[in-house]
Amino acid sequence: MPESKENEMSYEACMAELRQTVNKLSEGKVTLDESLKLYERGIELVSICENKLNEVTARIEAVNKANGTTDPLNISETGV
Amino acid sequence: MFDFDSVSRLNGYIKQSLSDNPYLAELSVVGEISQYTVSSRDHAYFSIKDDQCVINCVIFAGNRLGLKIEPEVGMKVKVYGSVDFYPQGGKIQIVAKSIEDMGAGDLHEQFNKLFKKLQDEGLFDSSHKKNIPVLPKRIGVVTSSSGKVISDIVNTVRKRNPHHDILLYPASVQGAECPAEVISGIKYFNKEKNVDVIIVARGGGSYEELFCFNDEGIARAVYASSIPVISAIGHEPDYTIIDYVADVRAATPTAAGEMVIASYEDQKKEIDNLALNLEISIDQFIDSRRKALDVFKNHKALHSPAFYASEQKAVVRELRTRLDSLSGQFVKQTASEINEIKVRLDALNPGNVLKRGYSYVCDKDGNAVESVKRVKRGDSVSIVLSDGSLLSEIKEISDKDDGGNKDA
Repeated sequence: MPESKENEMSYEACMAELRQTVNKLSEGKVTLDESLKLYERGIELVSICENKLNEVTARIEAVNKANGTTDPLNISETGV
Repeated sequence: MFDFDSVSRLNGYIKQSLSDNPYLAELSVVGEISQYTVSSRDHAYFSIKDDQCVINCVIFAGNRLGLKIEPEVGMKVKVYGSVDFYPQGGKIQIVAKSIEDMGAGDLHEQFNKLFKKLQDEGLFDSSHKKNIPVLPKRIGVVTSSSGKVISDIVNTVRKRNPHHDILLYPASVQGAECPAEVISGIKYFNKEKNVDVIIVARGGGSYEELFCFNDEGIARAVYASSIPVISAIGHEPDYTIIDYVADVRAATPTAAGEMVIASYEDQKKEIDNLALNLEISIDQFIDSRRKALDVFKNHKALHSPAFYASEQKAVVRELRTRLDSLSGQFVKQTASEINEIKVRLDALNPGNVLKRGYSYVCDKDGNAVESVKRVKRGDSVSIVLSDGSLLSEIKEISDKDDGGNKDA
């Protein structure tokens, strides 16, 4: 599976496929070959989901309407 | 400049000036009731407003009990009375003598008209609602940059999941500029496509303050947005038109923050659980197949001495190898293939051949005799049949290679 395609998949879609994969495997109504493919795909999806969960960066910014840039926004923990 | 010495003297003077003004001494005014409370002594304290201003009123028990109507919030009324200054509190109010019903209030009328129009057009249809993403990379917020709302949202989102970007589009959330600025915020995010979800938020406020969100332009911008929109205007139970058009309505800005971000911990837990289930499932799967194989492995056909004596040992070895590889994780054989081998082995079982009337000869050490050259006259041999063996002595040997010569 090409890496770029995985990146385009939403987190929700990856989680949905992972749930489906685990369900199929636990039902056990597949051939041995299929079961191994499911297992390998499942392992792959777990790491994709974990990466997606951790990849974002926590930037807090505001749109500068004068020039269209986005500037950092300072927010105190207790409120403005 | 006149020096009033004290607040009491100033307030006393204001009260006197107001009562001296003939226009304020006896008046009538139309407004919409925006608050209405009856005290324990049966006086009613209320306020009336239009779309920009509000004034407090009181009607004392004697006059209130004589009213033909029961005033309530939202009612458009005409109030008769005088403007009075309450010096102790420094507050101006209308002391009402009478209140007349003028029909439904203007703002409510506007709201209902717009609500019905947009509802008939299908802007509130649930089929148009988009799903809110579970893990948006970036959250767009349209609200004031100075209020407590943006910090509430930022802090809530951060608490639940620290790995998110937030992009604020600063906009007035009250007054005349509000609709245009909120609309340009929604349009900005849709044009830039730089967020996965939009929150339009405003803190709590009076009906008039929130009224700018009952705007047709805002409703249409939200409806046209290809990015999901969460509305969080005021606090429960305030409802404005935008709440009906938005994909989801949050009761408060903080609730919007909670709604938009699945808790990091919850998500992490779910992934871990799924990973664990994956391991358990594959283990159980392999285990069940291994058990099926063990049945064949222990089949008596594979353990009879006659079987071992034959050249089929090689087949067993191969089968063993396959069984061993099957016990590993990267099992490639299927149970049905093994079943085929078992059927083939059964067909080759020497025991089955003997049942058809064949027999074989063993020397005194129990080794199979496959050539007449291995024995000589007078040797003792066993002839093995399907149900037993016969001890015999060689009386004559006829060798095909010798042209039939007896006992060379």
